[in-house]
Amino acid sequence: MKSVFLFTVLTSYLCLSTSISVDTYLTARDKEQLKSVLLTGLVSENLSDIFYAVAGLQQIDQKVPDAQAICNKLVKLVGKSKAFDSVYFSTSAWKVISTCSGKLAVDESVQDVYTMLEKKDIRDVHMADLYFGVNILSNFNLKPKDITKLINIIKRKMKPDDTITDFGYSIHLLASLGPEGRFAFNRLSDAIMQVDEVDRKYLQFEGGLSITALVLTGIYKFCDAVQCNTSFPIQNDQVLMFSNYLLSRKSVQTPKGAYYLLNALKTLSNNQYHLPIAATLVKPMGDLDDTQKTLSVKFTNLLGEPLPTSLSVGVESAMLNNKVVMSKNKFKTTADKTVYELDFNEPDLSTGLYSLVINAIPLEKIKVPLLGNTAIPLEVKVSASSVNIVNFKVGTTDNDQQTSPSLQTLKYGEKLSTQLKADHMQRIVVRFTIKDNQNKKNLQMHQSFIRFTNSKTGSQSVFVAELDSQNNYKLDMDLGVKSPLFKHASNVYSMDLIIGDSLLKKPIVWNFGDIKLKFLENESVPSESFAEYYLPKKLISHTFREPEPRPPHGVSLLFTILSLAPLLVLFILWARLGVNIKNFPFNLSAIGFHGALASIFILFGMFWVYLDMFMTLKYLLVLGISAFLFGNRLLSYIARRRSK
Amino acid sequence: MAKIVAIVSKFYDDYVKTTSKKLKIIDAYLLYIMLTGIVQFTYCCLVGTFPFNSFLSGFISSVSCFVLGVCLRLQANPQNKAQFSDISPERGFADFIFAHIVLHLTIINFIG
Repeated sequence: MKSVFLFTVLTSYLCLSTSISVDTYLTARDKEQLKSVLLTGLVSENLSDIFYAVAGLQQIDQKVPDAQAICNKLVKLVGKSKAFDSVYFSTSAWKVISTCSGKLAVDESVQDVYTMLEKKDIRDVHMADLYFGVNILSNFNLKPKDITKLINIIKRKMKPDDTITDFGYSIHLLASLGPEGRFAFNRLSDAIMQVDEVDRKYLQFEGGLSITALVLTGIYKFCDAVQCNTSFPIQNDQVLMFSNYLLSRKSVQTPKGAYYLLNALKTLSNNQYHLPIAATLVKPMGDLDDTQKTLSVKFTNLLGEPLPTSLSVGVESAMLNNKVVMSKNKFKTTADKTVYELDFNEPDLSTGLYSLVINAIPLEKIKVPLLGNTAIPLEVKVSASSVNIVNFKVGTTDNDQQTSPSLQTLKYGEKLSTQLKADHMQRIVVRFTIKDNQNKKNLQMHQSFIRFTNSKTGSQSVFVAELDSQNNYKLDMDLGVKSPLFKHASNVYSMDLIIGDSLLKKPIVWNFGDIKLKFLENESVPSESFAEYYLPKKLISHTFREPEPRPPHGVSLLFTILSLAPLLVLFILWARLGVNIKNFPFNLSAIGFHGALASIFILFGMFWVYLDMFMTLKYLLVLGISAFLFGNRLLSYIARRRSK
Repeated sequence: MAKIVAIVSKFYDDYVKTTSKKLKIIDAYLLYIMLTGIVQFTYCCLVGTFPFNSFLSGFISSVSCFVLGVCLRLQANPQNKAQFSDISPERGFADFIFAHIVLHLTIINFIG
């Protein structure tokens, strides 16, 4: 808390040195906007929205359209909830409309309010309910039976660590109870310490627009009630910062926000302590140039209404590039009482951004002092309505730069009488200087481009003209190098000079001639049109790798037979050698061994066709063991027979 | 030329006369394997290697069978008795069969 306090003190000192002003107000357009937001609240089925809409419309002196229908809706909705807030919203809306015929059935709720105020145990009584309850009573011109008791309740309930919302409700409540609430005066500065500062320009309470407005209007009402006029708790700079915050929220979109915004602005504009004023430039940044040299400033209150006094408005200082250019000049009054004009007619007023500081001193005696009327900073822009382009030369030259370029001189606005020609072995040279119309100095522009537009396809290529140390512009372009930027498209191109600057009122686009460009045709790529580029690309679907072509069936068959043929050769040879199959020992082991071997090879065949490795190995184990046993027996039998 | 024919015919006569019947059977087997390998290689040269794994397994099968056959012939040859004194022809044949089973398991796995 202490640090927040220190911070607030520190920033308030800083604010004094930098001076704060309000540079916007609630314009007619903003009021229309807020009105349309409020009107959406009327069609809502929500009692709070209806109340905020009705009360908001009253703030801007608008009639509630189709009031009786709203009244009927209130009658219908009021029975749905016995909560104090909804009863408060319905009865308040009823009272604001004031032309309603019929009766709201809220007698029971009024009795509830009296019961709440009589309670001994106030721990579960909320400050908001107290506020709503007392206001329900006042809506029916009733009063709490024992005001002293009520103030005691509030005294006991108000604690330094209350939420800022509860604080807002309590001071509103105390304000409605008259001067007896003075005990809470010290709490005001505590609460103001909790305010958050943004950018040294805005002040707001945590919770946003509605909370800030609630507390702010509460403080004014409270001070009216307890008469704290000499020691108003909010400092002048803080008032201006609150004003800035409120006006920064004028695009609010809820009826609640719109109501609170209007209510707070109205409170700030109509009170007995001070009157914050808004000094606004009639046109954005003054919008001055060499023909229009009158700066208009509008002085209003925050709601855009004229001030109660005429003003003596004077320039305190005016700076351009940190140099003082004028001081003590006076603004003139105009037919419109809110608008004051300054002649910006000094001889050496060149283009640029001016920082003005002005004062507005009230000429007549007024009841409340003005706020934000001294040291008002203004940013004014003086732009050039036109500039002059001089020494404009255009031509082509060979790439080797042996020959000096042959340049044609043009005056601004003219066009080349003949078409230029250039090919990819040449360069295009453009030179020009931009001069201020007033003081004939060479100017630097933010943007200076040469644009080539293909006369057939309309495709554009833009190049930057470079600036040299004497502020002369030059474009020296090797067409062979820049060929890709033209998409290698040989054609007639029209050439434009484009000049733009924030201080140039109307940018220049000057078509100064045509040129026939010739590029190497073989490099030309099919130009993809702009529209096609953004079309969806072709869908890519997955394709499997295509199998390689197989030989014809006949060839495969031939080679199958050929590779089997040696088997035949084998049998023939064996037959000629005279293999003695008769010697085959017909016993169990011989048959088993050969059977197992044959099975193993059949198993391999099956493995090739459909079995997997694990199945194959399982079968192979069985067959292999049997083949081993039978083979062992057979071969040892043969060996024994041989050795005999 | 006539000399070469004479040499070849002498060589053939000697082979027919001196080589044992068992070895001739093995030689016939080796010839068969070699011819099969040659046919496969010719196919590869003339038509193409696709599918390559099938060609490889077939050709490797031929080469390995040939190598195994040569090994068997070496062990079964009575003239090499000195080197393979403790290996009987039956033992050699059993090794030959075992090696074949393992070889063909691999070949079939690779043939695809």
